[in-house]
Amino acid sequence: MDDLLIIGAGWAGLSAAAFALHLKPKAKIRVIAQGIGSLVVTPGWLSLLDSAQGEVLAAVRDLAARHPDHPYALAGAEALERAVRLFAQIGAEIELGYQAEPPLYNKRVFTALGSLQTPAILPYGYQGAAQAGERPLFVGFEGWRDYYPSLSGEPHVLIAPPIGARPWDLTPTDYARHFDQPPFRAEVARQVKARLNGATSVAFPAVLGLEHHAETVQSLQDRLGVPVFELPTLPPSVPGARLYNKLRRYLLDRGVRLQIGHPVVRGVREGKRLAGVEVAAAGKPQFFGARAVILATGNLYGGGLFSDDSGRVWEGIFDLPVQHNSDRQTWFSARMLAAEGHAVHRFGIRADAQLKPLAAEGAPLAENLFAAGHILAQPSESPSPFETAEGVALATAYRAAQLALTQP
Amino acid sequence: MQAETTLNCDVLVIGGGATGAGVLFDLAQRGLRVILAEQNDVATGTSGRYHGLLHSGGRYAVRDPESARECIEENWIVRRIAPHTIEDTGGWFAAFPPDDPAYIPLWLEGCKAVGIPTEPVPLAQALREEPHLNPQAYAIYRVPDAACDSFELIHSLVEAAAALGGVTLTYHRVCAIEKHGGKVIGALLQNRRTGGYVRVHAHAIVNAAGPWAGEVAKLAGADIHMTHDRGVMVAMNVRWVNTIINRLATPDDGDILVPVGTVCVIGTTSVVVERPDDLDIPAREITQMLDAGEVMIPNFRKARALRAWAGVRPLYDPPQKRAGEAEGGVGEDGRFITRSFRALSHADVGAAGMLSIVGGKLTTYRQMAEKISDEVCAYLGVSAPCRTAQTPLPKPTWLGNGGRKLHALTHRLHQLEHAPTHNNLICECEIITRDQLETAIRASGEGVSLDDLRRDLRLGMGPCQAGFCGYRAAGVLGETAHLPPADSIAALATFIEERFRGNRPLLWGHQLRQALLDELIYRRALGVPTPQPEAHAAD
Ligand SMILES: Cc1cc2nc3c(=O)[nH]c(=O)nc-3n(C[C@H](O)[C@H](O)[C@H](O)COP(=O)(O)OP(=O)(O)OC[C@H]3O[C@@H](n4cnc5c(N)ncnc54)[C@H](O)[C@@H]3O)c2cc1C
Repeated sequence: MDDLLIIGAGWAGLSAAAFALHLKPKAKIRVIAQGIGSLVVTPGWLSLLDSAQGEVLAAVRDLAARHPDHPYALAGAEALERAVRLFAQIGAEIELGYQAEPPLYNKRVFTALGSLQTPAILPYGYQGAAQAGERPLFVGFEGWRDYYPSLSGEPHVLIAPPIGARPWDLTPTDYARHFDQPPFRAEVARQVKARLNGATSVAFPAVLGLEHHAETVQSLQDRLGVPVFELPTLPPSVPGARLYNKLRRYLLDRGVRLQIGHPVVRGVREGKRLAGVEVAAAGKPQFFGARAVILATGNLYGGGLFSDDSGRVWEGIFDLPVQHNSDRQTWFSARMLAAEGHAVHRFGIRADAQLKPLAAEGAPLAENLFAAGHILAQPSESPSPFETAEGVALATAYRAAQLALTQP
Repeated sequence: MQAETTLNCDVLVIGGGATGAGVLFDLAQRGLRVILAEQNDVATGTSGRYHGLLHSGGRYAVRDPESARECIEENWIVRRIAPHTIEDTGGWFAAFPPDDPAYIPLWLEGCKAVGIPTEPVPLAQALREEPHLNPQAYAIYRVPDAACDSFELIHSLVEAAAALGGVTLTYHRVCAIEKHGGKVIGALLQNRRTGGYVRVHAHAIVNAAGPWAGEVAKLAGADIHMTHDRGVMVAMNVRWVNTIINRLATPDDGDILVPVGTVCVIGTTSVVVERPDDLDIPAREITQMLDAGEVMIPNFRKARALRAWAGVRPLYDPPQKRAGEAEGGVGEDGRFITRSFRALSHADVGAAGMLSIVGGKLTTYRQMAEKISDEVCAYLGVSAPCRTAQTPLPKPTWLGNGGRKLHALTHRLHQLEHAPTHNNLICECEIITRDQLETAIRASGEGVSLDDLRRDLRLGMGPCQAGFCGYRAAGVLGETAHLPPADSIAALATFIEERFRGNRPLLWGHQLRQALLDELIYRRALGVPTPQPEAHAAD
């Protein structure tokens, strides 16, 4: 029997496990997930409230006050700040450079199209964007299909890294592994240096090392003599993979059991509580008992929610009711890039002020089941869920872990 | 308006669908100098958005015998003159439990009367041939339906006409028709890529603008009342059947299933709309199509819905109906209007020499072209007879691939496997290499959009819905055509919206997840700016 069983290994599930370790170091924690979550497709920075102008945590408190149904509000006014402070400690240990000490202000980072994003917490790779200066030089690799620096609108060059005959169909991860090798870095730096031409900084696609990220950024900066920064790429996202790998190792080293590739199929009830869950396995389903369960399987994208052509939306494990529009016509705006986003992003389960998912009658489904992350519904009119993507996961994961660990 | 160029011809044909292309070829073959003006690319109107069926006529045998007869006559001819555009799947009419058995004798009689051969298929044999068919089918008849690739057909016609001197101007919209002394004398065309104007002097003008025929007639001061009947079709990623399946019942929504290549297409709905370009696809019409598919093929919707599109039928709604036509008037749907066609002269409004060809089917394009060409020749005093029914059409050579379909995936795969040094794949789903993309960009010239490349190469048509290849293609476009970055990014944003318009009706289950992933890429990783609304007025 585990003290805490977390379903889902996305940002919410993994951070819930990390927070639980800090809150109760001796707890027996298990994470069971079908896949590795959406970390490897996100840029790897943390968005808490991208549109916040002043101090971000204060802006989030305002948001929660205005939208009592928002997951930030359900998690409680202090949850995000506590989560962020804890993450700052964890971040120091996983050595990716995430600086999360409050007060927090949104930063400016570039994309491959030369546009700006404004997340709050950055790993090393993106930090140099703040010192991009007047003349950043965007560097790409000849023949690589996944990055076109000419689209940035900034000065740009294509270099020919020492990769061999078929440079084009390498993935970002392949490039990152090459950058882990010092001779490769040296050669890249040599070619770029020859073409710096007065550049005030150098931007690379986000492939600057998988295992040795900090070292890669540092050595390029030393050789080039100007700030170096990364631009998010098409998936798989190397910054996301770095974070996933480090967090995974962090949890495993501290005794958390991680079972990836195991779909939880249903909960097992015992009166008003959950006794545990069943996991699909060859032969018959396997039972895992737990004192408390956190559901962090994500939204329609993450895989916690499902939909069909008739407009039905359902939750896949506990069959929780999902707040959604029943007319499928209204799920998406007329345009993909519509400024107002899409209604479908906000579909999710409802939970009470203790983050306990609500069953059809409006009462909690079970005393010891909690929800975290994007499986929670978000109110219409509130900021786009993209703006608060990692923040909502952090705050609800923290709060869910805290409540779950106080279970008898 | 000051025209930059002036062109002379005998006949100007307006509209690059099957009908216009058919007229272009017919008149060119009769020795006339012909120019065809098409506002977009050829085959992008109804002819590029149809269901893909070379009708036997069986569908119209009971209520619309005139159209049924035209269909079966042309069916035999098209098979003969353009076999490369046909996949001879054959077709069945099958009755399933909700269908009224009383319809069957009426239908058999109707087929017999117009000469459509029918042959009963015993259920046991039917299920051997089509194991997915609903075994509750209680009556099945074989008819000579076939699948027809309208892109191939239209390109064949355009190329055959070109060899005889017929000129096709794509991206040229007719914006004014000029009259003098009770006759038409020419038209003003706007080049939609450059914005410049071209004046065409012509002795006669053929309006083959399909659902836009009313708008074009108005340019000459004539009033023809078209009914715009929108139909939605859904392509499933499984070729459930090898034979075209029609419901043996009064024509209704979603009662035809057409196998095309590796997919099959269920269609269609029928909703009267205001505008000829109203191509909206309401979610409920998709669900209606999937429900209808379930009747013919149990578990139909377990396959993935790959694409949905809509077309607008150019139905002619004459002021005076003929006997038996349109009893009960046009209702919610346009199915009571005949699928036969009419040639209309506009001499009555001082536009002698302007002729409109309206109604009809893709199947009957040749007969429509023959009829209107006869009228044009009579007007111009030309006596050359029509020879299109006897003249085989060439295979199209467009994009220089030796006449092979560029979009045949197996062909691409073969090329790729045999040229391992050129396999820089930009679109992994549809196997498009950087070389192919660059060649197509250069061949298309200035102003080429990613959507043009989609039509040529099937860029972005695969399961990733352009999430990955959109950015890559914009990069290659920018580098190859030396575009300013803002233009490449605008091209990307426009392409994203165009793809989304086609995909949006199909977003549930796995495809919804894919769309959300694509949105993450566009919004978070790339920060693609929201395009201005006019960005996709261009189609
Ligand atoms: C849903 C649906 C399914 C169908 N299924 C079948 C089927 O299976 N079998 C079959 O035989 N038939 C079918 N049809 C009918 C068939 O598609 C049409 O009858 C046929 O394609 C009409 O061809 P067209 O050339 O007359 O018109 P279109 O193909 O629409 O061509 C008209 C062209 O004129 C152009 N144009 C308009 N205005 C101007 C202007 N001012 N200047 C320049 N160009 C202009 C347009 O851009 C367009 O390309 C279907 C129709 C629909 C809507």
